Amino acid sequence: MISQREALRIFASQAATNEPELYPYNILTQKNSTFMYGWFDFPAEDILVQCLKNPETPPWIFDAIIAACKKVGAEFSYKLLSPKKDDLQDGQTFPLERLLRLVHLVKLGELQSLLLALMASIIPRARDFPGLARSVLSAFSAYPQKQSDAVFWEEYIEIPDFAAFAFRQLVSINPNSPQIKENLKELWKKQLKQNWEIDAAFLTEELLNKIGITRVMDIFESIKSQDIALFNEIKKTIENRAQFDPRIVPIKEQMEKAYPKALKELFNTSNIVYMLNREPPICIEELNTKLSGISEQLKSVLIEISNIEVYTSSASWQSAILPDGAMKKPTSESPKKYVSEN
Amino acid sequence: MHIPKNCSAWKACLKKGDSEDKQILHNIISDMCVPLDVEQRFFSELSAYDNQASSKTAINNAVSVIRSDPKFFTCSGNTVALRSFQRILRIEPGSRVFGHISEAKKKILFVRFGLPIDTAFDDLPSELTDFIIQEISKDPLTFGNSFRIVWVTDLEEAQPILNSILEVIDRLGLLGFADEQRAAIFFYERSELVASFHVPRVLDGINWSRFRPVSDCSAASGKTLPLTKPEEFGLPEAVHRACEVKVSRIEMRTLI
Repeated sequence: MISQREALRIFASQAATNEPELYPYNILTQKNSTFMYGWFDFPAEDILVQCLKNPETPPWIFDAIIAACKKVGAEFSYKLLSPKKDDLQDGQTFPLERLLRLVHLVKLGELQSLLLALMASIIPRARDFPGLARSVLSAFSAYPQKQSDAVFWEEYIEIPDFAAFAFRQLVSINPNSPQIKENLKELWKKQLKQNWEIDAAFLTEELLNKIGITRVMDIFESIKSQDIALFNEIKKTIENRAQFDPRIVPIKEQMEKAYPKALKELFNTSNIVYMLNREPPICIEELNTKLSGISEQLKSVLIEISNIEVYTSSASWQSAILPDGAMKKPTSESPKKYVSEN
Repeated sequence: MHIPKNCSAWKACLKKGDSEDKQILHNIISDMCVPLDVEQRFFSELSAYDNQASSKTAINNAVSVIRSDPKFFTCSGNTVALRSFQRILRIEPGSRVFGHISEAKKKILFVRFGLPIDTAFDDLPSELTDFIIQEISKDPLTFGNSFRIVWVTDLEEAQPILNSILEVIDRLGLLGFADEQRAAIFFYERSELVASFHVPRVLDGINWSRFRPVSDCSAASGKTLPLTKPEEFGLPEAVHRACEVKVSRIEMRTLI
């Protein structure tokens, strides 16, 4: 970004002293408003952002920028209140987008009331202007959040496009709130059952950074006790995500520790039915393919309960079968049986 | 640079010109990074021209001076042979990284991950900026149709440059880093490039109005580290018109 000193120099040289708010107003409202600085082109509102952040900015410049912001804000609030969508066609909202970016970046108390007024105008039109709604909520989130703001964000948890953002705000307000647990549970459900485009694994990881793995596991335990199918889907999703996202690995590892596979697999009916219906013998390669991901411990339990002879390779398995399909009688040269290491 | 009295006619011509001419004059006056011997010889040779009829002629005269001795006036923007290099590095202010995020990607970051739009990059915790950078580098980036400083070198050559990033910024007189906490370095392959390079030079502002030299750098602008191959013109860095590229990775370097 342009330096604060240089921004001040540019502003002072460009703004006419008799109507100084005209220059910042033009920056906010003119199309293609970028400027070249060094080798880089920057959004022109960066000049205003840096002037507002500079403690050495003279009051006449500071006031001129605030006045221009309020003027643009008022113009657009009026247009947004109009029931006719034609007043604000696509591509005509760029001054408001610039203004929201400025309000977001400077985080000035002087602009907070303007921001609240813009929220009141934009939020009811969120369906028509989703980009503006995202910008205004982002700007709002940059200002200090109070406990009472949680009620506001709770409403957005119910809206697919805003749910993830609202959840992160709620976590930043109070990660230990009992409601957070319910929210996370709800978000997992929305993603897995209703195909919301949120990334609940990412959000879980964000929460983990604030409250620790033990409390996150408590949430999963609560989900498991209420909805085992949802829990299994969550576990599967986390396992898949962890393969390419290292952020998720600690959750996956903790889940594996808390819910070892063997327990689940032991009672997995399809595994048992497969083993009981299998014509003996079986070679370990085929067994591994059919029961991929199964633990050695469980494998030996299944082999035992199904009373099936398992051989160490397909070659030894084939040599154990006579041409008529019967099994050879055991001899000292019999093919090697598979013995689980466990 | 201080324009001596014997070049006042030349200065007056540029003053009478259009906004671009005036910007070039401003560039020259505000460029405090040109070494004294270069400055003196430049104005001495410039004063020999007596056909300062218009601002365009005045600019052409200045360009003729620097082209008369490309080695002394640092290469005068020769085209860099692309075949010399395998990997391209590009440095930008850290805060500009957000500017590379498309609207579609911004929506994904907001809707899927709950990340704010248009936030100050340095306000985010580093694990989140790393995540965003990872997301950005998945798509081709359009660096815009303006000149940029890039390094066209093998990675081993680049390492000393990258280890002293502040020195490089100062040496090249790059603006826009003053209030930055971090610099972003984009890495991409030569095969990604369709545009040509030219080397940066002392007095680059003479025939390019958009060039704005840094006014308080300690090093001489345009002085560069030597490379060994003749086709590299002794310069590890170059300027190019940007195009759409697929970056192989983006690194953030602390500037403080």
